[in-house]
Amino acid sequence: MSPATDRALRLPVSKGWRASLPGRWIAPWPIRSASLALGTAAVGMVTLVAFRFQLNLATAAFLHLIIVVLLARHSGFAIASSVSVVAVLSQTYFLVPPALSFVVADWHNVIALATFGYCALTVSRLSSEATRQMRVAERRRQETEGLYEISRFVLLMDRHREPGPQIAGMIQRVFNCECVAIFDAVSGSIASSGGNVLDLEERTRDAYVQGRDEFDSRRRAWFRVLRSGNRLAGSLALRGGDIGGAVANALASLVAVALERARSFENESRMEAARQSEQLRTAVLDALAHDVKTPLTAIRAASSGLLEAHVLDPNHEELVALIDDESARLDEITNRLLRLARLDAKDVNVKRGWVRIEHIMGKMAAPRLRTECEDPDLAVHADEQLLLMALSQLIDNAMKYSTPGTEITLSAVRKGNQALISVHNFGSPIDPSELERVFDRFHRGGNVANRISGTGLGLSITRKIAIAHGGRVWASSDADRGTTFFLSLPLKGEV
Amino acid sequence: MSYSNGSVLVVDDEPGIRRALRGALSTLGYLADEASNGEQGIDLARRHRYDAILLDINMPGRGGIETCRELRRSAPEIGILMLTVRDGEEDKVEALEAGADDYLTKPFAMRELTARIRAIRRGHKAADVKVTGFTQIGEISLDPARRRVTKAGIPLHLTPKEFDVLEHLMRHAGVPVRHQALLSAVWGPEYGNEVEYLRTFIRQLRRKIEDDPARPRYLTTEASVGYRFVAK
Repeated sequence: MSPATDRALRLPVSKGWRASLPGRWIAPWPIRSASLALGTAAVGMVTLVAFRFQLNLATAAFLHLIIVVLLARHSGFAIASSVSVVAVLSQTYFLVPPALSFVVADWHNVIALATFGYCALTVSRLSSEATRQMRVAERRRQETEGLYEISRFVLLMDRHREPGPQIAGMIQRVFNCECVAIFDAVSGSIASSGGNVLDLEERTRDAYVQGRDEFDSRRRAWFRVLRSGNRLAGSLALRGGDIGGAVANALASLVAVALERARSFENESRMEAARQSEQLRTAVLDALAHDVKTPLTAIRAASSGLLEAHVLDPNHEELVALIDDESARLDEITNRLLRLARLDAKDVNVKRGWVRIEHIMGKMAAPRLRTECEDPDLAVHADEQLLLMALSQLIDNAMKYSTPGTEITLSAVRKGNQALISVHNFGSPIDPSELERVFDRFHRGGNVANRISGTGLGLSITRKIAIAHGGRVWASSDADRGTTFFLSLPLKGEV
Repeated sequence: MSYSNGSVLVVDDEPGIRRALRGALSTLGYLADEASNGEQGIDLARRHRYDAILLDINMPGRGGIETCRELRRSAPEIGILMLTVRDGEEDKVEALEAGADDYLTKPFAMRELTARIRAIRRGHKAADVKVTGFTQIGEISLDPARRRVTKAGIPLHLTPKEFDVLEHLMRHAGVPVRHQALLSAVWGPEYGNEVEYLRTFIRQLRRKIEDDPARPRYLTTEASVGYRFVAK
């Protein structure tokens, strides 16, 4: 016996419910009265016939025994034993000499009566026990069949529909319940089937909250907590029908498995969808790259070829140089956009190595840029390429928005367990309300949106890179001191 | 117009690129032919002796990589420069493994392209005649006979292995040299996977020949591929 069923059998069970537990089946009261009356009548009839036709005691006793056995089979031991008593009394009164009195003259007849009484009781006991066993077996078979049907259903369930209502409906049908309710704790939803479910739904949720398996005798309903591993996954309520505690437990396990399966299928399909959209995005980006780069390649080959040949007069050369420069710029913008779009698409894949801050600062080249790094050994465990990208976005940004001719300062200091990199420029300040939002995708400052070219992706990517390294970015700005963007990265040790 | 600079075959499925490259190359004194797919390219390369083939990696049908392998089989001496739109490292590694001499990411300036073509041709000539003579690139000069390296006239002290690495790279100046190729050329054919080892040597070399080892002018890294001694 499994621990679950074992636990079920030890549950406190109310008296009303016990009446309908397997093996303790007792016929309803009118039927019991009717069989008692019928049995008594039959015994009486046999006795009268035997008295009238002067049959001997043994014949009458055997006929009585048949009646008792039949009763024991159909109406149980209690009725059969009552009728046995009636039979003994009627035999004593009518058939044992002296007739028509309860006096037994011959001691032989005392033995005969006692023997009859003992046999009648034993046979009816055995017979009613056999019947009971048969009923139990039948009942178990039906339960097993029902559980089998439910488990088959759980395996074959329509994965594209909500699992709760499907299983609730199925259990209600198979076990002939009045109503079934299932509370799924993960989705917080409740599914029910059958009539009159409102108060049951409420109680089902309570059962989950209290984490208690119980039988509610007033509602005649089982409440079971659904467990998935050690975690509570929800609860199940079953009302009416012919359900025992063990079956309720088995159903609870099945429902838990069904919900778990449905959930893992859902996760799987969500991951599959994410993978497909990632694939699609990569394909679209590749196609886009190819479609933009091909004409750009032709333009650059033509313009740079003309310049390289040195065959143009200065005016023409100026124009061709313009085409060449601008197509190079367009290429750079395309590259950056594609890179950002790829980076934007997925979680940033960080390939960490030790990176000296001074080293990457040295790679930043821009006019008007001054770098200061107080500690040449300042190093972070980070992805050099991503860090370069983040820094160049900040410097590009500073170049774009600074007052022409003013200096841009890139500096790095150690601050506690963080490396704090900052990029400072003078220029029109960022409105305080926008300081946070400049890092949002496609956000561009209201006062610059039309004046300065940009994609609105750069700073959002910088933030993404910072977060991927466990760091953060922020900005401060005012008209006097200019604008500073900060990038802080955890140090976690040194080279 | 004279075609004194040599002959080039452009293999690309994009008509616009063929037209532009052919025009620009002709203007710059190259004799340029074009093919719109791999088969046609292989066919033309069999019938003419080109100095260099510009081969697009992404072509429908027989792709650039497959075409490159085939060309390398039939004409080992031809210079092959592969063109790709993708800036990915896999493409470059694959191109070099298929036998290409160099690669270039589209779009590019013609100055860059012609420099690469010159480097390829020089590389092939060097390979043909095993030039062991004096080499000078920028401020760096290398004298194999006396095993001496100078920078702007000042002698540099290199270990024998450093000298061998530098010599190999300078002899192939302008083209990328794969890690494996460099390792087996200098240390012997049984080497090829000791990329980390090589990295240490390159770092030492840069410290000696570069003004700023963090921003090398001569000895550049080709990500995931190898190293290149930049031809001036």
